[in-house]
Amino acid sequence: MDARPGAGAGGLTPGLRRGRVRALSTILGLAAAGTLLVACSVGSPQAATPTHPGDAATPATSVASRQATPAPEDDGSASAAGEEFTVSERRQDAIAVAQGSEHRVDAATLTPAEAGVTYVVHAACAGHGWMRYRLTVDDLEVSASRLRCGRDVVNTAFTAEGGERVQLHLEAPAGEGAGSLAEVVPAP
Amino acid sequence: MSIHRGAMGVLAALSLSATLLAPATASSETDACMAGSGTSHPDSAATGVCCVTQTNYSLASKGVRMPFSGVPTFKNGPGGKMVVARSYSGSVSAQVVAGAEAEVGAVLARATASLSTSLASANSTASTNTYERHISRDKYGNARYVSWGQEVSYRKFRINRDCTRTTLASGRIQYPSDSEGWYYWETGS
Repeated sequence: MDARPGAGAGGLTPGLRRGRVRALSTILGLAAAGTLLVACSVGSPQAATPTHPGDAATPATSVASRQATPAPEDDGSASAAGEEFTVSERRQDAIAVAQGSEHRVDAATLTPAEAGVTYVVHAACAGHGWMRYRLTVDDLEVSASRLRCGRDVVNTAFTAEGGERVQLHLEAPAGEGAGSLAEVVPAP
Repeated sequence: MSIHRGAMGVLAALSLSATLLAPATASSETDACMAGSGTSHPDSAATGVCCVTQTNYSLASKGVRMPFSGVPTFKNGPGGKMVVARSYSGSVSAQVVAGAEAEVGAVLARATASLSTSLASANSTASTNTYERHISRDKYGNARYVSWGQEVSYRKFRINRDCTRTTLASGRIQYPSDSEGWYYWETGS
């Protein structure tokens, strides 16, 4: 085994160079084995984990709808900012969520609303031009919003009396690279 | 061999002495710090350590809604439904509530690092966000387009050599964030 140019053995005698290269290949081999082990240990729980957050909620209620084509009033063009914008991860304190990916939308009611807390809807999308959400509290529509992608939008939701059941209904165009999120979280 | 072992023992003892002497030196240095400042600082006296002189900031924050300029407050009611849309451009900038204007940049740099990465000195947008809202019976609905920012309270201070702190400046600055949207509230009239 000869050391290749640029392998980092410059200035060593050939014997030492061979020794270092052998050691390097041993390290690389061990590293590769380690990577495989890590991949296996990560892969196992993934297989058992729900593929989308909505399934993880115990009282999950799927209320989402998906629209394969843009709404008639949509101009169909993605915003310039939307090209680089990344939709953030769902917040841990969300009480309801609806998430859209390339080919599906999943929604869930996570926990009942807490008395006295004012909630907002955080919504964001990327990879397409727009999204729309509707918010229902105890099956009554409270508010709705239609927004262009590429910004973090936070709209007032409601102030809870306690125990309300909150649901989000999401509409967003499907397509490659599309991602949408609407979540009900405590007001900042 | 036994002589060699004895020499090792002496060396070890010397090494131990040197180790023990180090805090003693620092302690006398602390006394000099204390004498120079004429103040008493329990931490420095207990630990026997002098502090490195430096300027620092302490920050605290709370959420604040910052209205976009050029976007009016909408009102409708009593009861029914209101639909508002912001389809024109607006902007909002950092506002000094108390303290010096010169601290806006320095406080923002520290606030984005420790409080929220989405804070900014200004937010300007032209994107559309249509908002529909059911108004409670006999109530009036009000809506305003805002940036959901933070009011950052800061204290600029110097850590002295004797570990005491001297406040150099303090104040409150409101910063907009990347998050924007409709703030809705209801009134009786």
